[in-house]
Amino acid sequence: MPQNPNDRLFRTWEVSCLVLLVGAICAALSSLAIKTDLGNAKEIFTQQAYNFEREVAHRFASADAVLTTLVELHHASDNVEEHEFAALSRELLKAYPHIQTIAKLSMLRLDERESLEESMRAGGFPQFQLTERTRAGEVVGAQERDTAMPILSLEPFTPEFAQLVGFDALSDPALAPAILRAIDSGRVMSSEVVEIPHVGRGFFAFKAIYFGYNSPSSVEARRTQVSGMVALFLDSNRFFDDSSHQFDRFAVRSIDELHYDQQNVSYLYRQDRMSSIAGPVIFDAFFLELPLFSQGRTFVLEISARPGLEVVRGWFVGIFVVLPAVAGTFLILALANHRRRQRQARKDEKKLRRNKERFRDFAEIASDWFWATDEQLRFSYLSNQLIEATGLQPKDIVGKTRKDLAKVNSNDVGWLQHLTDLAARRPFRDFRYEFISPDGESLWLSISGKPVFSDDDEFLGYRGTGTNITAEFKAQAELRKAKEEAEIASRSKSTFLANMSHELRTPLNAIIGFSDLMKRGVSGKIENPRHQEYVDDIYGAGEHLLAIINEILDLAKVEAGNSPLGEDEIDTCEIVQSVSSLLAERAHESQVRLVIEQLSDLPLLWADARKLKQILLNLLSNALKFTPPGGTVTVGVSCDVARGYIFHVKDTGIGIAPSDIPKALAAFQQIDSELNRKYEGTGLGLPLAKAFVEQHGGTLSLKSAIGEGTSAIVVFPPERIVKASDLKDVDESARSA
Amino acid sequence: MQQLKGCLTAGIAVAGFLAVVTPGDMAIGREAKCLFVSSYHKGYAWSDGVERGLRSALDGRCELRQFDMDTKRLKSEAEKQQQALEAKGLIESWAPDIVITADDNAAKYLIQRYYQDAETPFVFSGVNWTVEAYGFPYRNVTGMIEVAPIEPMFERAEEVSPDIRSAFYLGADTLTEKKNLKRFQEASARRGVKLEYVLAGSMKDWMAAYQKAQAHDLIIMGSNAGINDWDRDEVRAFVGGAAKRLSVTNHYWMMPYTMVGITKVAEEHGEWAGRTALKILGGMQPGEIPIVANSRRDIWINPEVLSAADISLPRGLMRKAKRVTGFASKS
Repeated sequence: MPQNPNDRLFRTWEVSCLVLLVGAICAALSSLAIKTDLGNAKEIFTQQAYNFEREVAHRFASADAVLTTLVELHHASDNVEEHEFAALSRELLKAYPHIQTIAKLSMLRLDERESLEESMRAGGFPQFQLTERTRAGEVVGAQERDTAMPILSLEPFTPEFAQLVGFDALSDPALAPAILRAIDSGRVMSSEVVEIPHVGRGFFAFKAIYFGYNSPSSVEARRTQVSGMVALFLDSNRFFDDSSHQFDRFAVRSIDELHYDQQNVSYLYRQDRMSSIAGPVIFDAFFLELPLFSQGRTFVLEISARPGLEVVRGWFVGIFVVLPAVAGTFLILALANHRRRQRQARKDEKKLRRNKERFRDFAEIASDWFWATDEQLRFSYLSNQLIEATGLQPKDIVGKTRKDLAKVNSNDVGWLQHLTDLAARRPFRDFRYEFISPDGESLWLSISGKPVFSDDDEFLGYRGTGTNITAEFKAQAELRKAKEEAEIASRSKSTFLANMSHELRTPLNAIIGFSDLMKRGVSGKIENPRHQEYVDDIYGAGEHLLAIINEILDLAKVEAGNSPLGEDEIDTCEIVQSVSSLLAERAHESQVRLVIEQLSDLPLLWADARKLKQILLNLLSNALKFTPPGGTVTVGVSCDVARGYIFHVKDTGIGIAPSDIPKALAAFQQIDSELNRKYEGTGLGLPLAKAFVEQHGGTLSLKSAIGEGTSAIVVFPPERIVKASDLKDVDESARSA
Repeated sequence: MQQLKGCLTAGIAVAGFLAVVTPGDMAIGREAKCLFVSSYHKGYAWSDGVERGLRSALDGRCELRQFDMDTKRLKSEAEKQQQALEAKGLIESWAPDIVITADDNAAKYLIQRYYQDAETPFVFSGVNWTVEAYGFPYRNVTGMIEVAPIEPMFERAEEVSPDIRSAFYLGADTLTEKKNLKRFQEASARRGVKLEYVLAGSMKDWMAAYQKAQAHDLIIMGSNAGINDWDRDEVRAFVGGAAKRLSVTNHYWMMPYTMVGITKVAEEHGEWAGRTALKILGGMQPGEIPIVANSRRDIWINPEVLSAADISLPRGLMRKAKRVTGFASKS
């Protein structure tokens, strides 16, 4: 999904600028570091170059010393034999390894040449002859010259140098100038560069030997007194060997100060290791040109080294790269974080604004008002709904406490609880109080609120909602009043019924009593059977009427609350047996089998024994009444700690429709007029039993269906079960008493 | 398929190797083969010295094999020629890159006869005085001539006995000794010294000649090599009793029986030959390296013989010379 440019923390140009800035700083600092390292490397290079120059100068000085030693040996000794010269030369060569070869040359006049050649051939050099070098470099027999300066011995005498025995050095243009200058000056003079086949490139250093013990003092004398030369062949590779320093490029060129030819500069030595250095050229090469004056020539040492990356201290440069890079990264991250926070703050602000708008909408739409108090419980905010709901203006309320505004009754439990909640900074809900408006109207208000605390748990006040419940309150009051009136009316009815029953039973007792006397013939036998039948009817009607009146009276008493329970611990088995016994004859007459289920180990029941008997009597009477001959009525008792004490009476009678069960349980309700006519009764038995049961906190329910019999179930609550431990406590208290 | 790929890879590798390694490179790559043909036998002091010098120069640089012609002990011409043929057979079968010889017989019977201007390069050493007899130099031959320090020896002798008029040369009856004798005869003539000589064929003849030499001012001890019945102890005992005149030699192995020696250094020949061989193996042509003479020498005195003869030496000579006491006991 393409990112919205506005969602980016940075714009492209900003990122580019930051990266460029950090990069530039890194580059600048690393360049500075590299420059510092390069400076150090150049200093080291310069130091090494000067050290090497001193080393080369020392080699020249060594060569001078060797030549001087050998020459002075000849000057000091009357007769230096060849093997003595060779032995000393060998020792000197060992001491000065940069010198390759020591040669001895003898001044030879033309008339001495033949005898020298014969002597050398006889002495073991059969091929000996004076030789010289042609322009082409070929070694041939030397031409006849007045003087020659042949090499007669070499040390070390090696096969490659054997070809030089007999070579006339004076005939060689590369050597002659140096020889002549050495003769004239008496000092060490070096030649130009020569290439000796199978030996290599190098140059000779000459020093003249003169006759006599001391060197002649004048040029003329030197020229006439010279007897020979001692020479050193200095192989360039060995003499200028820089392997101890390994400069990347090292060259030596010699300049003849007297015959300087700028066009033809000859290099004695060139060593170029540049090409063997791997890697790209990063830094310019260091270069030094050091002149060295020795042996009548100027030797210029050209030394250069190409610094590679190794001169740069990686950690040093790294620090200068890493530090600004890290700093730049932190800067970018900090900026990014700042912007992210800003963006989040904008989002939060927008969200808050939306929430405020939503809240405002809710507040405007709601019928309740919103309020807030400060820490002194003084109103600090009230929404406009207060005006609509109560007619109060917020300005009349803000700055005052609810206590200031309301009519507080110090004996009002609600107010006391509310003030306690406020003091404890507890939330409260639906606190109702009466408020007298400025125009004297009594208003009932309901408020809910919760305390508000700061992040430091400092109490800041309350905020909550309020609603005007005056209408609801008035409606409830009227309802309550109507209920009370209804209850009074009901009680009046019950009182009336009780009174009426009492007033009815008095004459009825007279009717029953006298009719009974008449029926039994106490006042004389009634002759007329028809009259006797009339007396029996009077007596039966009286009895029936009395039963109805008694039941009405009982029911009325219950409804009037004038039938208190005489509770006691009762043995339910005994009650059931007693009731069953009362009805046994009737069951027999009705040809209905009355069955008592197994009654054992039942706890005592905390109840009114008379009313329990009445309940069971009514239920069993009903069962017998509606059970046809041959049927069965079963009575049983059970006890369940969870459900309670349960009595059930079950018959196999005609049953009733489930829809008629509520009617059967209601007083004065008739289920079926035909049944009513068939089975005589007041219809108050079940309602009375139900009233007694409910007076005990229990329930009476019926389960029945047409033709399937009826089950009446009485349940007393579990708390009426007298537990064994209760009994024990009672016994113990009785014993202690 | 996998095998085919392997064969192809191996083929490419071999072809690449052959392309890089030329035949010339292969020759350079292997160790060079050097054959040392000694005219004499192992145990002969001179030859042993040459061999030491040669081995020190070539050690580790070429594969060195040695063939000893034993011509000091095999005196007949036929035997010497047979030995040369055997050496030639070895050269042809082993095909060395270079052959180094020591002393005259190898030069005479092997180089001159079979390898004049041949392809195989030769470096000789220890050829006495001159190569004229063998026609050197050849295109393929160079080497070092053995020159005895005769003049220095006469000079040292004159330091001890300034007035030497007669001298006696005593050596073995061999070709080499005959050539040496000739040089001494020339040197004596140049100095006006009368030189008599005996080239002995046996120890007894040698001792008799030594006894006879006591009548001269100077006894020059040639080499005993070739006297097959030589008994060192017997001769030493004999010399200890008979020595009365100054005796000098150019052979350091004669120092047990001689008073003063100005000796050549056998190792010099071997070292030179070795270095020259290496140069030739390195690319130089034998013709580019001239034939040279030996130059190193040593000075010895034998205090026992000097003491027996009651001869005292000048202080300078005594200070410079090496003693052979230890040498004598070792020899």
